[in-house]
Amino acid sequence: MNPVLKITNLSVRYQSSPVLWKINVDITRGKIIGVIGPNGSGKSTLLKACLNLVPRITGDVRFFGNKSFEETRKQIAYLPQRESIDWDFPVRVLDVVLMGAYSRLGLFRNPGATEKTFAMECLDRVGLKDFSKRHISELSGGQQQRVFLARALMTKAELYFLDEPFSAVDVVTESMILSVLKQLRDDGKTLLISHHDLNSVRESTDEVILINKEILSFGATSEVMSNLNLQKAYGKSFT
Amino acid sequence: MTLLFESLLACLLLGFTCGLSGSFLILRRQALAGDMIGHSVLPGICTAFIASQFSLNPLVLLAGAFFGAIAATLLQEYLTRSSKIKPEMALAINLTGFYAIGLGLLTWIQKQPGVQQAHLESYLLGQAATLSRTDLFSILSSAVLCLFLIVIFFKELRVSVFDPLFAKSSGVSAAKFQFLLSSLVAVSVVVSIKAVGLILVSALLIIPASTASLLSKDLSTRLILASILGALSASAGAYISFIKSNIPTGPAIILVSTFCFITAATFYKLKQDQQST
Repeated sequence: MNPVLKITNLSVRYQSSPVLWKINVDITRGKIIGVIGPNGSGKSTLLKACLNLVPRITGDVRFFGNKSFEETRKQIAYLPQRESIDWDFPVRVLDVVLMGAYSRLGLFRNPGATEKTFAMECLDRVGLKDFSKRHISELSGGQQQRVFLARALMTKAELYFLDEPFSAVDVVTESMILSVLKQLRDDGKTLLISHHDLNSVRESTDEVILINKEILSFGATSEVMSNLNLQKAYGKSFT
Repeated sequence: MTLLFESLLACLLLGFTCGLSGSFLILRRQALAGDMIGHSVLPGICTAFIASQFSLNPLVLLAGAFFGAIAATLLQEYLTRSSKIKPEMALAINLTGFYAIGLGLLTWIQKQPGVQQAHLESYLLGQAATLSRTDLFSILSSAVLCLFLIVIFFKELRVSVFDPLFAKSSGVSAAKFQFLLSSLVAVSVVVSIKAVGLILVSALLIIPASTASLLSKDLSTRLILASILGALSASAGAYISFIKSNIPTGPAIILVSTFCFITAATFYKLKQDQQST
């Protein structure tokens, strides 16, 4: 089977220090893949480098066979880290979700009734249908994260890049987000998720990429999450 | 049309333009960028004055002002993107650097024999009475241009400022749209300096937009409020300056917009106190 994402020899550096070094990964369809590693290990950078959001020194990233990111942009969704957002920005929940339709609409076309109906469906899936007219700053951290997930659903993508979707969420929200992600996986979508909580990684992912600037291990979650591997990555034992 | 009517119309339009572009400046947390662009206009005007062999043609000076503003905007983008210098540091360096060059050129011009430089000094504090028919046409054109570009690119501008990474991943070039916003600010400043003055022009960008930010949490409503408040403050300030000829236009406009801000801030505080009890 052709990989939905093929990363070959990918290296990235900020200023003069390397952040990612010679990354090679093939991701197959219909899986939730966790990207884990210590702080500064390059988890977010890996996701961003795949989407051309940070410049690469070397390497190639191909999607859905042998296509470039530009060719497949409409089939790809990205959920950025919540720390990169100004949550006081004057925008309503529904307008944020509608941003997910922008790559399909292109320039000069605004979201219409069809997009608005689908945006409400996406909000319903994350349990926020009644919050559509609220301002984004009036929501809790978990609700804001769910709005971003609804925006990702709005893209109708096949491949999802989610940067710390479980950050700043309570247990109930985490469980709700996880159930939406598993539903997507069961529908044949592929999800790449950067993750900081090692406990929830075990139950939320099918495969894991353990990273610390370079790939330390990649495979089924149960195999990668061995104490030896984690000690290699984090420098301490987790038993 | 009378001189008073033309000047008031010009101020109304430039207040409208500054309110629109200033709202995005606040959202980008670049309130000082208007100040930097305002100060960068002086070397542009002086250079155009010298290059045109001391011509006071408003279009020549306007072109010089625009090049000064764009040069400062490009330098600001370059410094923040390709070096370790933080945006506020780059702003301070640009603001003072361009202003120093401008003052140096102005001093040199003043020492030239037989040069009429008095009009150039009016750019420092502004005087609506000096606006010509050409200035009015430039202000009208920039108001139409700003409104047109913000309306047709509203969704792209909003996502570029709110979430630049998501915008880029969706095929919306956040960098290009943010440069468009910077250019709109530059245009607003350039057409406003003759009336408001380059030292105070940033206040006309920031104060009406800040007032609007206290009154609404919706971007479209904020833009409408900021442009109305900017238009009203600028025309009211210009009118006060006309009837009290010892008050320059720039300070009069800023005093009116500051009064609006204080009123809105008081209203906002009272509303918050009411909600918390």
